[in-house]
Amino acid sequence: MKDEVDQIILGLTKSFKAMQMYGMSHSSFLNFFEPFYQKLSTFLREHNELHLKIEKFKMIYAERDVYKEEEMDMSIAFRLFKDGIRSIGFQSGLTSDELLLFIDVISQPSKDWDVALGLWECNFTHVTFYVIETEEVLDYKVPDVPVEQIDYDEKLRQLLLKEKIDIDAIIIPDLNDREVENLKKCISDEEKSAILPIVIRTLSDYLRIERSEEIIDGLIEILETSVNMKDFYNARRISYKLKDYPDVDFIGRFENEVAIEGFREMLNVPEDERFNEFLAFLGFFRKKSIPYIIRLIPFVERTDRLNALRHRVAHIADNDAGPVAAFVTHENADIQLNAVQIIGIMKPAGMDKLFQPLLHHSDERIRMAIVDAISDVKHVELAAKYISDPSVEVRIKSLRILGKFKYPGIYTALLERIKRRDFLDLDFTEQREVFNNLTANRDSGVVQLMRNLLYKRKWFGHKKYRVMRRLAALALSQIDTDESREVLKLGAQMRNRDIKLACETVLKERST
Amino acid sequence: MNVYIAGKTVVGLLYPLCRAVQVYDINNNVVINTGQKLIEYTQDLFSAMASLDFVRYRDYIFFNKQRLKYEIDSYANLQFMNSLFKNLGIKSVSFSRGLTQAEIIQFANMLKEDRASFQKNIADRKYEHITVECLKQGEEQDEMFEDGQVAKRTYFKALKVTKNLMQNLWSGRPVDVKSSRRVIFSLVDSISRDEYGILALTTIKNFDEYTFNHSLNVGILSLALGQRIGLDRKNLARLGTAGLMHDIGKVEISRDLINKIQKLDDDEWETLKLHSNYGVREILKTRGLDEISMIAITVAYQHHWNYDGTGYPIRESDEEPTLFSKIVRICDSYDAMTTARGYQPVPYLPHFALRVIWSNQNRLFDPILAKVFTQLLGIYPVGSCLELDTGEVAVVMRQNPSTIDRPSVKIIIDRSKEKIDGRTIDLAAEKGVKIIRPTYPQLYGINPASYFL
Repeated sequence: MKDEVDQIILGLTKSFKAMQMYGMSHSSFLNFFEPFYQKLSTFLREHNELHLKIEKFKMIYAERDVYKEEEMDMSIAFRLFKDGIRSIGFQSGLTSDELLLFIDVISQPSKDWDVALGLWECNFTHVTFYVIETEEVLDYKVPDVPVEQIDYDEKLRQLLLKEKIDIDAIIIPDLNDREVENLKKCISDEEKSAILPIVIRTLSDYLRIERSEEIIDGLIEILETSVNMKDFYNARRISYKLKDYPDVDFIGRFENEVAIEGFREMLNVPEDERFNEFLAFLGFFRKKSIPYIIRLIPFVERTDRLNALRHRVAHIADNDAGPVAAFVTHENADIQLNAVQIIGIMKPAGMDKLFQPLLHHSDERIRMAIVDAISDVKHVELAAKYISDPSVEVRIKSLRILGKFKYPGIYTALLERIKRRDFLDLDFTEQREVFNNLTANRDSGVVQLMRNLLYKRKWFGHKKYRVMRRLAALALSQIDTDESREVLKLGAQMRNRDIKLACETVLKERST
Repeated sequence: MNVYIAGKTVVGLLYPLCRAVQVYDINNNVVINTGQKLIEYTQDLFSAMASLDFVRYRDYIFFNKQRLKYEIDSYANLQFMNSLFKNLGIKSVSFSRGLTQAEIIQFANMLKEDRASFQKNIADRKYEHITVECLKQGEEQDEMFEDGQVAKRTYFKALKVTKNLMQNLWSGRPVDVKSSRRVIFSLVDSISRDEYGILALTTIKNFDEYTFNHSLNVGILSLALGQRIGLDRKNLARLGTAGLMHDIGKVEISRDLINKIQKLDDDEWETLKLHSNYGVREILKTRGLDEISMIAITVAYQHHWNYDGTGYPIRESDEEPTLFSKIVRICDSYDAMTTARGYQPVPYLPHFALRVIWSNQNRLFDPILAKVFTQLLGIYPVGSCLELDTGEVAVVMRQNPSTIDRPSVKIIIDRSKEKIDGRTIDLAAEKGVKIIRPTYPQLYGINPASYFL
């Protein structure tokens, strides 16, 4: 038995050291722990209990020192002794989890850690321990009670008057099955429900009666905990309350790169509700955090969340494009793209100037974002720069802007465009937008121009040219003057089938 | 086979059998059927377990080395078995494979005997499949003596810690949080070991230091109620802390106002009501924001919220008090009613206070908790003074869980109205003695607390 106990104590010592060095999930710890548990279990099966007396630096089993370590930080005995533990017992039936928990509790590094309390809270079934209490002198003396004449019946009458109760009511305090179930449910609900929302509400309610720095600090502490736990529901509720105190900087602690980078996992959480809570919490951030948030945006996977986050940044920027504009020239195209899109949402004055450095950016997404950004703002000169963009989508979008806001300065350039041979090779949508623009930004010679295009004699390539006749006819229909209508009517009577068909079609469309 | 469930079920089947043999002859069908049910269940168990071992250790019952917890639906059964083991001096009972219906019924029949007869008969009578081990002579006395001493030591230590805590807060000195945590741990242990032992000490009231004793008493009553409804140790520790600190906000109210003898005017009353709010701040200052303090904060704030939505501080309609707040609400009211204070020189008799709680269930108090609280304290709570039909006056020393209106009492005034250190009578056993009515201890110049020290 002597050897067995020595081996167990050795296992305890090694497991204790390994727990301190590596923690409980590390293989090095488990290498020591598992044989230790096996040895102890075998011992307990044979002897039922292992009872160790604890002295300052020693553990004693059956009147024999089985452990001695005088180095305070390293001594298991001292750790137990300093918190009043004078004996430890392991009983048969001890589980591996119990032993693991025991080692975890005694290995806690904090000097403030109370091992006795830690063990107590574990509520072990097969580990017992004895803690000495400082002996209190029972110096309490029961106060003498003078004899008083109390008229029982009169007193009862007064009390019944005051309390309005039925003194003879039959009391049967047995709970029926439904009440037992209700009580169990209530206890289970209480255990499951989080205390944080209730505390937040309590602290917030307190602030209704008066301002208190302790309460505000308490809320900020819970805010930090909530944010660390990625519980943005509670973080938002607290922030909402604290924003009533403009002098309290509750959000500053999160407005740094490390904290905001830590939010990355929130961008793609499966639950929309959690993402939305996070987004709502971001609403309390200030402009200085924009640079860090913008760096997060490229990690968002879902388009709807991407847009939502961009809108949130635009909201934070509060009409000041400065913090976002700095990212227009960022080296990362994704970040540039987001900067452009956020500016597009904000639509600050002078937005076109902010985009100047990106006008001919090689990334089509950025050029498109610029055109998108100005799609409902009158920056026609900027839009005009994209009518010859390599991307058909960008060109079409820019043409639509020019058509919408009217920019006569583009007329000549468009004329040149349609005269080019390759115009016929363009996509019909783009061709149509060019013609729409010509009519929208027309000068006095536009009907004549369209007439010429419509009636043009074509000996070769006439099939390919049909589209030009149709576009010209559409443009004339759109111009809708006496002169233009006359051209169309005349065309409808012509022998050339292409001209006739183009004119008849638009006239028919007009009449319907 | 879940050992815990098995143990709970066997206790649950043994309880009605023991009750049945108290009422009926052992050949009565009720007894036979109840015994049969137990045997049928144990036969299944014996296919998985060689023996069914019940051991009592410090008011805990272990079944095959698994401790059976006091839970609301099994409380009466377990308490009955515990009392039985304790009263008869039984250390352990073991049923082995082959147990018969006749054996179990005869054994149950022996359990209704008094201690001396039981111990003699069990030594003489050998059951083939039942082994009983009784406590040795000194073993139990040590335990009982130790329990009583531990309860007292725990109470006074807790009182000292509560007093230090509040006085330090009053004077702005740092607070020793570790001590208060340790005290809770001792109180929970004490409650688990012998709830009536420490509950009896809540009869200690102190007019001059009302807040300290009251806080501690509420803590203890809450723990006892919490244990009765089946809270685990971790939750009991939380509840105990919350109970102990529920009135801590009073350190921010002037002592003159708290101790004022005259009726409070409206302004004073409004000021006093603020202690619920101030409690929140004080707990934050004292303990910061760990899990336990968050619960204590909630309870300090909500402990005057009534079941029907009234009370203070004013709340939104969707706000419900937490379970812990509802527990403390009852215990706080009970202790306040039964304690003499400036404006209440003659406190309510404990049984009257209990009736106030009973009558206000659904209005002020949670009805289920009010019922459990009544079960816990009994119709005549510990410390009550009772006039008996013998002409004597007795103080209630201990409840009988199975007969809540027939507690164990100690005679303190004899027929000639002289104070005596009389005998203890278990009214559940001595059915001939009748309780006439509860009475005011002040009539006899008695402080019931003195009988528990």
